[in-house]
Amino acid sequence: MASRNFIRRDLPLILVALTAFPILLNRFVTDDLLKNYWTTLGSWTSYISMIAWGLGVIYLFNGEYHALQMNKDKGIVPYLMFGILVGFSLLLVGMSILYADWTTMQLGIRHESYVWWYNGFYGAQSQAFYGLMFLYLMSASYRMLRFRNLEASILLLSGVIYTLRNTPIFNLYFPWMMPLGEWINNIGYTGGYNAALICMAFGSLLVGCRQLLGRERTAVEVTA
Amino acid sequence: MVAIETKYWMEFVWYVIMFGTVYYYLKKVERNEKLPELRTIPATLAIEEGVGRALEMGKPVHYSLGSDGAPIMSSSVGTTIAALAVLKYTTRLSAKYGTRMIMHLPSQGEAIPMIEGVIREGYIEAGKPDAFQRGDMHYYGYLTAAFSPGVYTSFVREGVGLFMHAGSVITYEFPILEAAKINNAIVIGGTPRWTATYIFAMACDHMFIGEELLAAGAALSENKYLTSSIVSEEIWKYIAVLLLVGGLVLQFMGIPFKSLAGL
Repeated sequence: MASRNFIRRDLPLILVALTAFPILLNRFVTDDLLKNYWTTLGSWTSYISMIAWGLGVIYLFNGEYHALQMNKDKGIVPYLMFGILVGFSLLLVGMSILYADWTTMQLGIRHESYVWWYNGFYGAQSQAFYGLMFLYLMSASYRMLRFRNLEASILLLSGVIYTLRNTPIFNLYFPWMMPLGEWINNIGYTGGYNAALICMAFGSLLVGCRQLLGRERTAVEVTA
Repeated sequence: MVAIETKYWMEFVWYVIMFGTVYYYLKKVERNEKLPELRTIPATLAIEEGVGRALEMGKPVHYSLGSDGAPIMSSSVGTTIAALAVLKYTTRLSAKYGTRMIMHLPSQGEAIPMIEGVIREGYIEAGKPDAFQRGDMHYYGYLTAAFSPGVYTSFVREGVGLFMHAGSVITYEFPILEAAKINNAIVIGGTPRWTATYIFAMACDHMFIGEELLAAGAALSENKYLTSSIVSEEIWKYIAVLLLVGGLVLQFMGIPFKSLAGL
């Protein structure tokens, strides 16, 4: 039990400290050993990340399989089967040595079959959804930009002035709009942006501090 | 050959102040001394309200960290940790009230075991470990174009009472926030990513503005050690304002504060 608790609770925190403190020190001290340590850890990050992608794929298929088994609504089966079919097809073509380009040492991901699968399904759907985003932005803007209170009114007026400042007809009849729009962007927006950014950086640094001091236990199992 | 980088002295001093203040307040908690009052983040109160509403409507709670919202190998890792703390709190509440919770997993495969662990912990803490359903964790693969339609479909198919969308979110995920709104859900969310903050302002009923999400992670943990650290952050903000004003005054007086500070 004690060893289990050590592995699940204390070891992750020790690993974080062992990894993070030398990296932090690397910023203030120039040393070959520290530099090598930093480079090696950077490579490991890539390896772990690549393996994790693979695990994600297994998790996806596992999830689809469980959804097939558990779902009482059998009308959903064709959709799930189609998802699995497309996923496996992409995987088989992309990983296939039959389509490999040996000059660049790449498997089938450059092959026209793979590109067709990718563009035909993923690319088309991606563009459609991207277009949908703008329609939704319009509907949300209509709901949000109204004279409801002082803040909402300022937001509405700022937005209108900033948008219309580039329109030639407004520039012609309301020449004050251009400098006012620029002022909103350069002074109002930039001031708020910098303040928000500093606070966000502090928040992020605080989480880092808590982790290095071993107090941040959100991602560590505590009820083993 | 070991050499000290003197040009970063200001950064070094800043790190010492940071660790010093956090350590000071941790010690204060250990000695049971009183901490300054902290304001409540409005969006955190709305989570319980949302879970209750989902229960009344008989619809599930949906939680998402974003399509690529759980980086654990970049400067956004702080956001991931904070969002996981909010996730644990939401899971605990859902388990307590008996509301079904559906988790929409981000593309980062390496974060999935951690997310699953946090959800399991939430159910265990609520005393209902058997209520955890692995089938309620949906994975959509890489990029938003796969994620958003998946979440959208889930809203339509299962219904949505509360949608929590907090993490390293990108603007491209706006349709799912609006979709939750169209499906009559309470929408709560936020991100410390400034460029994506506006989508939450447009579509959320309650939002974590900027670093509020990072503070909420600690505030919701009900752990005194974590909440004490928020006090340190407030002190850093005062120091930052002093440095900004002091630096401006010195620059106006002709003293080169910028180069002295190694900036």
